[in-house]
Amino acid sequence: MNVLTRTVLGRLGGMLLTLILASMVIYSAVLLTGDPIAALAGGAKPTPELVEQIRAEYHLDDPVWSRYWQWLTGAIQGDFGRSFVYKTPVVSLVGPRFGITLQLVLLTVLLILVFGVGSGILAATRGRVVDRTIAAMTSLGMALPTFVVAILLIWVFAKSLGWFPVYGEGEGVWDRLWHLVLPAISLAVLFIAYVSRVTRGSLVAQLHSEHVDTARVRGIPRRRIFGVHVFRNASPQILAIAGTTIAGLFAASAIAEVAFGLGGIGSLLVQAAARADLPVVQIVSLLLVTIFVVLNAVADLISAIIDPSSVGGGRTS
Amino acid sequence: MTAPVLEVERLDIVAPGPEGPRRLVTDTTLSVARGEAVGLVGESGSGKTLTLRAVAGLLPDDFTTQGRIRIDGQDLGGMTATALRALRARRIGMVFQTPRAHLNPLRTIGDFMTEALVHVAGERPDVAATRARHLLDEVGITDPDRRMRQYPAELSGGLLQRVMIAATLAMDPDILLADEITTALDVTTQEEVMAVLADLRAHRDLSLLFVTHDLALAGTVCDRVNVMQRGRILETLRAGSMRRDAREEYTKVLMSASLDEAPPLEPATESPRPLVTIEHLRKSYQVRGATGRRETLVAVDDLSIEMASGGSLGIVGESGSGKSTTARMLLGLERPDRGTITVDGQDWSRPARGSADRRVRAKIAQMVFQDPYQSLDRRQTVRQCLAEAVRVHRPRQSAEVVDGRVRELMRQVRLDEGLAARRPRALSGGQRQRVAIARALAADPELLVLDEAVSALDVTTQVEILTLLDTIRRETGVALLMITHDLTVIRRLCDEVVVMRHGRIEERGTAAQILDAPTAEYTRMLLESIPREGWTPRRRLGRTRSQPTTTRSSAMIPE
Repeated sequence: MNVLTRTVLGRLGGMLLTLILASMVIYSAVLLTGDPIAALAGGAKPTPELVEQIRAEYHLDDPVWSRYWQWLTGAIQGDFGRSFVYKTPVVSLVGPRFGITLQLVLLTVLLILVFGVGSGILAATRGRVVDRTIAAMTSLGMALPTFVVAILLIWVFAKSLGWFPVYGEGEGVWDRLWHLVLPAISLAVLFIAYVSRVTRGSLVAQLHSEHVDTARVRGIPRRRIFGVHVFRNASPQILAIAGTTIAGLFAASAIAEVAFGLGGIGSLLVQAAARADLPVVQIVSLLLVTIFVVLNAVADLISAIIDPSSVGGGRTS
Repeated sequence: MTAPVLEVERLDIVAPGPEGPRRLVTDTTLSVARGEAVGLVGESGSGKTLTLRAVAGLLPDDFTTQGRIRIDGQDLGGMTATALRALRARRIGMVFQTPRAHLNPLRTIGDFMTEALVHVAGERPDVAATRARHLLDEVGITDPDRRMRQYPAELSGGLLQRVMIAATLAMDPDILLADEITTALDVTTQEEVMAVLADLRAHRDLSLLFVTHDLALAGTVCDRVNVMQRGRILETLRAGSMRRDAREEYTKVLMSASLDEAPPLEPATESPRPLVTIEHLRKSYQVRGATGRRETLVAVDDLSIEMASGGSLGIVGESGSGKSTTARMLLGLERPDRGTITVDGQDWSRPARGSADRRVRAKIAQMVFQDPYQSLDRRQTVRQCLAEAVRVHRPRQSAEVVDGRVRELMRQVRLDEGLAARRPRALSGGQRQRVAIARALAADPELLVLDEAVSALDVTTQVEILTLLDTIRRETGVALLMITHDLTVIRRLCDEVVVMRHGRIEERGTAAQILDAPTAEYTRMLLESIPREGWTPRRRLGRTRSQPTTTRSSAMIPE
């Protein structure tokens, strides 16, 4: 079995374990929120018959582990239960909202990669003035929380200039994109700053590395030195940070979704938590954890393919 | 006579600094004729490497130069960046000190070998690959096909250095710039690499500019030798007659610093009490072999050593011989598979448990490491560093007593008291190592373990430190255990020597026996590999295969 297969299998095992542990933690959150019946009955004082009916319908009399098992097996088969609040299957609630979040995240990722990696490359290669300027801008970017950026953007570009819509998701491809621009920018600013810093740092380390000296003496064209010896060697670090960042975006998008009135899973989670709609909270949380773990594993695997010696603890012959 | 391949004329190199520009190389003039080998010898900070880098175009961007550099008669000053790159790519080949750092770890040997041919000369990849295989064969690398597919991490240092040399030959350069190319290698590997270079120079019309700190090595390799100090060339000598012709005092110091000149030590008066007794020690590691399967690597095998109190023992071996593993087990940094270690009557076979036990052991044995810059805290002044070490063993002493002890330690290692407020960055390599030795002496130990403690130092500094260690030993009666790959170091320091290879003892005896009348074949080979007058490097095929190294490799998984 070669090193790469072993790494892939190892990662898969670790991923499964993480997900199982996460599902336990998420499920046991139910136990901490007190009596779900009050939430299910919808505010009014429930009659004893209604309580009985709810208990039977949601298997509330079974032991915890048995309920957990039913919930887990159900979730794996695609049955996520019903929302306490809307009384509809959770799938039909989460499905369309996930689409919006996914579009928002994809647009944000595009911005982060283009501007984060791009400005990192400029900072590392275009001399001191450019480097200082970008350093100042990234410091500012890191200091600005997403909601502040959101408010600023709404105020300037939506309210004062009127270039972008303030609220909602829009219809059709272009209108949707139009509506997502400001939320995506507000989400991206912080992460652009991060990715830019990391990109610059790992590029500078490679630029000053000795093997790049070798390539220079050998007269290898600049472009190739940068692409093959500098950027490629720096990319595992950039990927590692970009992977966690992008994975975290699905959760971080809640702030932008709420600020811009987008009906994504982030705002769904916020609402569901406020109304103690436990099945929705559970499924959305589990979904976020799954996305995070899977994307991280993917980033690790790409790093392993770029740099096989980073896994399996080196080699001797 | 044809024009010189390389001419450097009145070269100045100036570096910017916080206190104004500093002139690092002054008025340096040298030339290398076609087919000639010229040495550039000096200690660290002499400007020899800077001069070489100026020729190769590798100076940092903010450095400025004056004077002329001509390659094949073309003045580099008047050329465009593109023409300059093309000239350097085709006419110059450069080989560096640490091949492992100078090869991209993520590219295969094959990529490295063919890169310049494909991307500079515009050859087809398959043509380039064929040529690369021929070149690898030319420098004596067996099984080039397999090597081409391997990554740098899979090859030993000696093999990588040959790969570097082979790769520079791809463009058929006129001159090879060699920057301390064997400093990081074992003596026998150094001999191999030098033999390869000698062969190449014989078969091709190749010039060589050879930068090294080792005058003896330069003398055997080169036709002429430039001696450099503090950024200036002091004198240029014909290698064959440099002993006779040398006028400058500094050159003579460098020559006498060649450590094999000194007579072996007179054994000091030894007390019969044994300090260290090691019996049947064994340590093995699980390593992942070439096939991906786990293999057992025996680093130390059935090793028995005895060392008297106040004695001085040298353990000599090349990388992979198990000498460092032995020292680490002695100090409790590794756990032996079996065997016993007794120090000062106590059982040290297992690593210390708990901090009290560790302190007891630290009072008996202390260690001095190879690189004093890394083993000292760069934020501590000399005084703080030593005071801290004194307090570990005398926690409740008054400030005056500690201060007195710090002064005493500094006197012991012949450090000027004015340096007490300095930090490591403001000290020379030799001064740093003195601080490290003083720190080790703070505990008043019975035993100092010196792990390659002078290998990172300049030759003249090496002699100073070795003399100092010998004096300290005679003054305080501390026993010295020197771990080294360098037999010449032994001559100045050790009464007794153990030669190790592949985890076993090849030979043991007094320093005079081992150095002047060795019986083991391997010891003889080690001694013959040391460059000296009239020395011709020989290729010893058969020991060229890469062997796994036990020194701090991430591949090691303790059993």
